[in-house]
Amino acid sequence: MATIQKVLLVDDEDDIRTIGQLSLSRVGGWKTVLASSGAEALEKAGAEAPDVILLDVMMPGMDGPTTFGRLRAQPATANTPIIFMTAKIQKQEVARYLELGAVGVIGKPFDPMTLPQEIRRLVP
Amino acid sequence: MPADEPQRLRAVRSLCLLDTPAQERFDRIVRAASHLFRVPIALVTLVDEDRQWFKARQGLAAPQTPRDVSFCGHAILSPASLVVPNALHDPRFHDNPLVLGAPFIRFYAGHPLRASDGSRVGTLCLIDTQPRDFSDADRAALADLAGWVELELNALDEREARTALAQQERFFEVSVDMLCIAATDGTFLRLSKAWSRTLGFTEAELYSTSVVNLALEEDRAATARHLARAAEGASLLHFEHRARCHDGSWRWLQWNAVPDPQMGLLYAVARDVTQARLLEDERQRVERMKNEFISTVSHELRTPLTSIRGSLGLLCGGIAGPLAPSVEQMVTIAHRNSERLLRLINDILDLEKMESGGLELCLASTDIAPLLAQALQAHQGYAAEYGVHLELEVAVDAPHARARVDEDRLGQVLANLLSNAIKFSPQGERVLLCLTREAGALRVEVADRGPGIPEAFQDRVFQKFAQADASDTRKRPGTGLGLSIAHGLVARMGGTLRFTTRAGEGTRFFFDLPECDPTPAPSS
Repeated sequence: MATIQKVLLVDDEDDIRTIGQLSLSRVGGWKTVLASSGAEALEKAGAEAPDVILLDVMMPGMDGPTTFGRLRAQPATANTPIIFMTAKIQKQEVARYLELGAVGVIGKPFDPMTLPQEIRRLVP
Repeated sequence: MPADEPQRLRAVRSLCLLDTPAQERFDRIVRAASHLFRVPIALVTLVDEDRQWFKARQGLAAPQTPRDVSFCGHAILSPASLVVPNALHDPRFHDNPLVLGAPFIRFYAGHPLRASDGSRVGTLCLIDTQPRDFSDADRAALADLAGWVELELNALDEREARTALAQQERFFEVSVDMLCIAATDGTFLRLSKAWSRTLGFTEAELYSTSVVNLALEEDRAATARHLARAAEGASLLHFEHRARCHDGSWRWLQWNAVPDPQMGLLYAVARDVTQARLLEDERQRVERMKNEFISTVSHELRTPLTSIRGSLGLLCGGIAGPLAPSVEQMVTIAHRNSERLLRLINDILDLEKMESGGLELCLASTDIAPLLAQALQAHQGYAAEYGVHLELEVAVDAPHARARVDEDRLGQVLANLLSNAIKFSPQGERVLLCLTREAGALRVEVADRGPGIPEAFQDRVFQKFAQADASDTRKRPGTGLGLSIAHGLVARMGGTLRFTTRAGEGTRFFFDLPECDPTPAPSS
């Protein structure tokens, strides 16, 4: 995988998007694209071609796993590494997301100071 | 010895007459026999394992004689009367002690007595000290008298049988449980009154239906399957289904039944467990609600906590630029407490999962020493904050010391024990993490040189929300759930978390894990 330059963060919570953006841009030094829903994620992912997608699991409307499937079906994001973010970090849930094809799962609350480090570990 | 001796002995015993006092109903028969046949001795005898015992006796004082010298022991071998006109001339008896000595038997005529099952249980016998002839008419009269004795013997049987039947009838009337005898196709052959009381159908309605037809539509297939298994001889134990009631409602019935495949019968007890089922359903509903509630609350708490902890983390990390010292101090306090809140939420979730049985461990044979090294490494920073030194001592032939553990959960246990040991240690002291082998198990131990656990608190160390005292919570932050969780986790991995402690000298927490694939230490 080439060096990460752009990350798409998908989360329906405004505050978490704000903190995530600060973490990814200020700590990680990456360009950050934000989406507040699955539908917006599909649109932004197609237009922005991010190197990594951080995808919240529980979102109203199109949830994370459904969005994941749609992203995989789009040629532009068929191979983009996707990391799920969830507050329900239970073993069987994590196993399910990895089985779907996610490169990793990050639990909430995440530490914004080490989030980029964690992403680099999952997407070397 | 009669061919059916065990059954014959059972029949003798079931008369319940052995060693009972004399009864006129038998005595008058031997008196009549003695008079009719003009013999000095007439007896009603019962022959058990090793004696003939006299239920009624005329002309003889002894209550019994040994079976091996008895004439009656011979008489019960054949359905016909045994007649010995002169014992001195009979090779079977000429040297019998009852012939050579008292009562000096010369003549013997005995007719076997049959119990209700046909077993020959004893005799009506006549004895004389003089040789005698015994005509066919005499034999017939003796058989008639023996028939009279049999009536008396078995009259008792019939009365008992009638009593037993009456008791059974009564039991079928009053039993709270639903008793039934059914054919293996589920049709009822006999029902207790409780069936009508419970389901509201008349007996006639019940006899015209079957167990399968009574079952609620959804439960019929399972009921038929269980009946088919019973028809092949399997007992039905705790089988539950819903049965229709006359008023359209239904009840949960629990069946316990024993089949008699040869007779094609099922002896069954059905119990109305509706109330218990409803309570259990309710309990499960509440349990599900509780789990959903905890899960939802935990999620709902984590989402704002992500923002709070994240913002504080970024501020502490200097992302918003340098902070004034007083601001930094307050932000640090807020950040530290958000961390604490997160730990509490995680602990409550773990505990809930452990108590509801929903905690799944991924047990795998794991090299233990590296896990200890990782745990130690992860706590170096924390130890430095308290000015405590961490040391690892591996006294086994690592890397071959393996146990079946869940790596993450063992890490959680170690984190709890190490952080406790660190925060209770005086500055400059050391905390020792050891791995040793104890009687085929791997012992993991965390020892500190802290103040020790107060005696009054020792019984409650592993209880939820247990902390030595309230002031301690402030001094040494913790949720009070950690040791309770660690104790539960160690148990799930096959060990028991225990401790030893001495006031002023320190505390040692340890647990033994069953070792797998033990590799003997290399010989030197």
